[in-house]
Amino acid sequence: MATRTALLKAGKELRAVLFGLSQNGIYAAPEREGFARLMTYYHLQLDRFLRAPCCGGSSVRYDPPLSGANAAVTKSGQCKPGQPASQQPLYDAVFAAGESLTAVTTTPQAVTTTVVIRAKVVAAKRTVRRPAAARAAVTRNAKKVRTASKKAPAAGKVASTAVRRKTAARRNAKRAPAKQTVAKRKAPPKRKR
Amino acid sequence: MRTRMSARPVVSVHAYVLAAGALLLGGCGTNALRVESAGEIATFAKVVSQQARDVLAEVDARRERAFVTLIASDASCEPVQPVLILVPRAAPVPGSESPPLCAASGTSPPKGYEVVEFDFRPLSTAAIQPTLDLAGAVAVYGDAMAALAMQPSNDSAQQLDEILALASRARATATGFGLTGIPELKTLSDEQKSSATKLIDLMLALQSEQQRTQDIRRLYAEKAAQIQSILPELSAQIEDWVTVAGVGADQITTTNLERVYRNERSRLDLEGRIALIKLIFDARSQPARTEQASVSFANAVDTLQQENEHLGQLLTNPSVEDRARAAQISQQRILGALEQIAQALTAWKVF
Repeated sequence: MATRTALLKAGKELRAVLFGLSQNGIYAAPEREGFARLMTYYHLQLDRFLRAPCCGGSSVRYDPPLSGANAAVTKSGQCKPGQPASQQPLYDAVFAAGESLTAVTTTPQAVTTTVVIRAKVVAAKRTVRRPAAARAAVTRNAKKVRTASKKAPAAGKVASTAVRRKTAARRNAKRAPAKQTVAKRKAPPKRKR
Repeated sequence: MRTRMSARPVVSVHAYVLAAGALLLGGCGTNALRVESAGEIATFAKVVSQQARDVLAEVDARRERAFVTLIASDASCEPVQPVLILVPRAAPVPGSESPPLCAASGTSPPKGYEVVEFDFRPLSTAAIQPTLDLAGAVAVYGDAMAALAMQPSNDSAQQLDEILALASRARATATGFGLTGIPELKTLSDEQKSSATKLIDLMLALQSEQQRTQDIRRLYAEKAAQIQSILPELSAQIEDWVTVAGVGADQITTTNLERVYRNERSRLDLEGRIALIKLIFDARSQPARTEQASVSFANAVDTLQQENEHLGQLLTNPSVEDRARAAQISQQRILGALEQIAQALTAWKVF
């Protein structure tokens, strides 16, 4: 389980490596500019993670970005001036490391415009609330399920089915709107009829 | 008038002062060290909390500089928020030219490039709040220590007046009952008043110090452990802000200035180019200077931690060195007290 501190340290190391490449005169200007932009990209991810880490001081979710940063540092050793093929693994590794950092950052503000749009859509979906009447119906159905399960025979398969229904209805009542609709359809009193 | 005063009650008063003084002087050296240590904690805590705020402000300034230089580094960029920059996903082919730094809004990025938001708005309050809270807790602890350590003693002149007023009332009452043993205190000479004030001052100072030590002991018991646990966390957070946000912004500023040089060198004269190169060199050394801020802060935190531990030791089990210092302070105070008592006795014509 990686710690936030270890991840930040690995991130700083990768950023320093990219900065070093951008300063290295053996590379042509476009190559150095490429490294500089990669460094800027990765720094933005690291900066955002610093401000809003998803999972506290340590988490298994920090493992991918940590190993990603370390992998990118390793790839940097393979870079050779004038040989794009030798540099490409570093580019890929930096983007992979950056994307895995984004995955452990809670801020909805995203890296690329594409991700921004996607995040906005997800956020919009999350904020949709069912009408009050529908919410009340779900509560009513959940109560019915509880009553039905109490009345059901207390032995064998039937009883266990009732318990399962009761549990499912409670679970569904707590879930997202779509799931709650399913709970409504499955309400036992209606089935008995 | 002085001749009317009986020597006996005065001697009794002085004997009382001497006895009380001796009691207070017994632990006074250690108490003095405790109050001194609380004062040191107050000073260091103030430094730590202020430095934390300064560092965060500095990090914000570096972020802003990175943002400004990035926009200025390429004609394709405009001062808007957020700036969309083009980042290559593929290594450049030899002989190829880099596309403009900034992407025009609403257009597709060139092949092999990705649009990335470069958002360097000032650090949000929510982001820095945990660090500010920690710094605030340290400041509150420091203020509380300062209030105890720098508490002024009671006004001895006022105390003397009160004593004299009380004594006069007592004498009037006693005379009413036919008792005449209480001296006429209204008639005290300046010399006598001065000696009495000095003795009262000494008593009050010792009493105040003892009271403050008790208050410091209570505050320490309540808050010190919490502060000791907060300090490493605060230090770690400041280090992160400096080395991740601050140094990163410095590195971006450097690459931005290098881009300016590449883009503008043909238009600059020799002096202009030299000035820009100097700027770049200065920017390159900035990350090291920025990191130094984090080291300085860590040192300040260490000092505060050590002083906090020192106070804890003074309150529970003073070290041999502290005991020696305390004994020295006590000795000096006893000598001073004896000198004052001797002066008082002379002034009151006891000898």
